[in-house]
Amino acid sequence: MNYFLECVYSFIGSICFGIIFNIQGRKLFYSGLGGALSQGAYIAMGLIVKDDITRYLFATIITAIYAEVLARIEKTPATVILVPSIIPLVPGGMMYYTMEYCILGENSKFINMLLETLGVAGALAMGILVVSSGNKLMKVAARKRRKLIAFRK
Amino acid sequence: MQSKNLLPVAIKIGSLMLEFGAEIYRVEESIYRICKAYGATSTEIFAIPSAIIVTINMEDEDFYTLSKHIFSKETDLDKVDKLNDLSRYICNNTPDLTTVNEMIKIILTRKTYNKLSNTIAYAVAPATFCLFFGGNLKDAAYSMICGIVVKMFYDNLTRLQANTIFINIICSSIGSLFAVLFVKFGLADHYDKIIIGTIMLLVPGLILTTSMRDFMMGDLIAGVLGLIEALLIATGIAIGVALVLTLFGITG
Repeated sequence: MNYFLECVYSFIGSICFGIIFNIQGRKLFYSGLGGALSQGAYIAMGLIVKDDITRYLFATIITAIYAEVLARIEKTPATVILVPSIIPLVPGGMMYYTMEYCILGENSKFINMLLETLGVAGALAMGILVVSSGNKLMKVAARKRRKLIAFRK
Repeated sequence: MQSKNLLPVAIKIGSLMLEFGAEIYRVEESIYRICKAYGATSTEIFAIPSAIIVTINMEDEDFYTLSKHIFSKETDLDKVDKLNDLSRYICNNTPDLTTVNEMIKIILTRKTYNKLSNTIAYAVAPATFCLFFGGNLKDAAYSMICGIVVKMFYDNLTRLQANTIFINIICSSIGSLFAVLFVKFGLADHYDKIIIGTIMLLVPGLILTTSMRDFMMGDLIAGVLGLIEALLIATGIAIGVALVLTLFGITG
């Protein structure tokens, strides 16, 4: 039940960010769905891997694939779907606790939290990078193949 | 088609895309394809988040260069989407340039969400993230007020052309000030959850995503600039919140 509620919150939150970034029409719904999906993927990954950063990485990869596929269907830049979808994964809470430990002077906790926050931000970045590169690779490969077929004819 | 007619239109489409938050490679590709569609024999583009320089060459003409400095940065993904469609349309149909100019004007006057729904979005987003990070319903209700206050300050400071880090320090400190006051007066229970919900509005998710996609396409300068901006914003947020928390002696 708790997990379901988290997905609902992500859905609403992502839609709000979609409105803030002025996404119109059907794409607004898709971005909300992406938000729910990203949180759902994060929860589901918890069953398989225990490491938090790996969980974030896989959740990002799944969300980014979703965004690329929808971008292809809707003929829109992938960023439009990806940006609001990824928002629930952004480590806002971790950022806050990093700062709090910093001013509390609890240095060991601060360093731990800082590294974790940086790790999660890096995982988000890597996830987006992996999927975008894969997508580009596929595009180039498809173009090459088409040329090859045309050449043989 | 002459270079001196084509160049301003192409660079206008590119610079608008960049202003509304597109990645560098998309801008470069759009300009390149538009120029090529109208018969430029060579198109050289240099684009970073704050400037675009394009040099094109037509048959039996000299080289022409135009540069454009990009100032404002307001995110509007709907317009990016439509400008992307427009550049695709231009490449397939090569309409004459007055038509293109008119189409750009139509895109720029496309409807945006009105002020009310924008404010509601700014109010509901912190509330949902407050719940998401474990706050209760009372916290969520008060984080709505924080969100609206942050939006008011954000809009006004942007209009006054304050710089990014300053805006983020002020907005995050105002948001957390309200959160702490709500808890002090016994209206809400967890100031930390309210603050987390509120700073989610300021966290640089878009910039980080765009800069990563820039890195991936090999635009290292744009990627590094975006990354530094994201870091600066994050630092600004942390400073703003820390300022208020230490002021009230809540921590330490």
